[in-house]
Amino acid sequence: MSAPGRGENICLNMRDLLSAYLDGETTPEETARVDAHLNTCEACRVVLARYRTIERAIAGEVPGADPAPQDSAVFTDAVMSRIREVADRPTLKAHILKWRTPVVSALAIAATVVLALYLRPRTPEEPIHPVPTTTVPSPQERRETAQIASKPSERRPLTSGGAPTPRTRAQIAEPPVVASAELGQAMGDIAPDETSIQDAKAKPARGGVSFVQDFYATRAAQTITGAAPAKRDSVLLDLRRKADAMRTELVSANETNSVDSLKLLLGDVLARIAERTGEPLDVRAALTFWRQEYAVLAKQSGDSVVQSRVSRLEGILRSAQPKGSFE
Amino acid sequence: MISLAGVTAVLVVIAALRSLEAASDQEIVSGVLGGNTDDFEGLVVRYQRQVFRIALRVTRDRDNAADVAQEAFVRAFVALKQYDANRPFGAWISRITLNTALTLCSSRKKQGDERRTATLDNSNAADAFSTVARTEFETAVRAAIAGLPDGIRETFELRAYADLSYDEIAHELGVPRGTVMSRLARARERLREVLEQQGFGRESEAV
Repeated sequence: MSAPGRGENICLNMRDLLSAYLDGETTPEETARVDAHLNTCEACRVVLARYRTIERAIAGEVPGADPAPQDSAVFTDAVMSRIREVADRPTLKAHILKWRTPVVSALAIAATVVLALYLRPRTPEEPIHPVPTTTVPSPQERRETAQIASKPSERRPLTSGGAPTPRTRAQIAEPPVVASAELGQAMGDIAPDETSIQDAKAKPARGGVSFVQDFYATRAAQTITGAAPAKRDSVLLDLRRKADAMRTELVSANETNSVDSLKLLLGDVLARIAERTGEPLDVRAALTFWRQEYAVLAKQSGDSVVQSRVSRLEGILRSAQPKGSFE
Repeated sequence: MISLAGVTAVLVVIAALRSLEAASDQEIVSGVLGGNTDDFEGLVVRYQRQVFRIALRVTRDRDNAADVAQEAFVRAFVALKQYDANRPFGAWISRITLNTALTLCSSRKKQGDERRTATLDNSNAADAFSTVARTEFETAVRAAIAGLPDGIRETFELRAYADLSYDEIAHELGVPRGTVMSRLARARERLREVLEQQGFGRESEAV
């Protein structure tokens, strides 16, 4: 494990305890110990606050979503109807068990008879081949077994709504090179990102971030490619002008190497878009813009932290990264 | 005399309420296993909020969460014989829900399902900014979780998404409680390190 590059170090003897404290899993004595320690240790207070921030990011509810099924009774009925279906349908295993005994006994008897006929000391007048036995399964039995085997699966699809619609997926070999975003390349250069959107859709991936990536791909396809171009262009143009003006301001104030100041800038720009347009703000477009701003800032300041954020945003926007790629 | 009658009345009422009290999870399970399939409805009613909340945390989408919740109950029903009646039913179905949600996430992803998720509302400009900032942070957190070593990740997911207690996690994973505690502490330290290296320090706490 590498040491944290910056920031506070947790007191090592407090590590397990602090985490359990957060989860409410400490004994009263332990809780008192942690409380006493936190009163005197600034570093552990900060660490605890960071843990809480991470917890909130995971457990935070989806905005505008009540954490319950839309209609409890409807949900219960839907579940129960599927469960009754499952319960009523004998499983394949049950079928096998049901038929196994007679079929296996019949085969066993047949095999025994055949074996007995072969092994029996032969007398010259006996025929060499055994007589056919009558203990093999009757045609009726066989028919029934065949029916069971060929019975189609009745499993109901999980989604009631539409199946995913197939789409043509253009494979774009070269994702846009973001780091080359220049100050002068100001006007309406959101278009190249359509390629990265297609690219993102073309590369399915797994892992914890998949839904977020789904989300970006979907939103991007709907918003960037689908919105009325004229209005969007003017919005982006305005956005660019504002951003450039503010960046110039920051450069002259010698404040370019601060992520916080960049965030202020972006916050202001995004607020302006939100005020000007009557449309919902597109997350992907905002993140794309954000990434480009980071890229310019990284180039100017040479700050590796900013550069690492550029790479990560590129990852989010372009496609899924393999598991653990952030380490 | 009156007080005696009063006490008796109270006792009668308590007894009546007791008999009306819902059957325990274990009683319902044994009823269902005995062939009363419809009894399972009691468990669906009792646990649907919990199941749905876990599904929503993982999928971040109401429709997907409803699908996951339905599937989780069906899986629980099918696997009911494997349920250990000495343990809380809630923890058992929570773990089933978590696994169902994680599986569905990756399979939907593979199928290229393009279902929409939450949209940003720009009714408030300040909200728009904080939503973007939050999205960036949440994405980084999820990626960092995905990058945890498997044993630690599963323990952390059971805690963070499924809300299981340390004892419940210890039972589900078959490890001592102390192991659960140290795994969670390691997970949190690792997440903090990874996120700090990416520049999420002080500023992200304001989000």
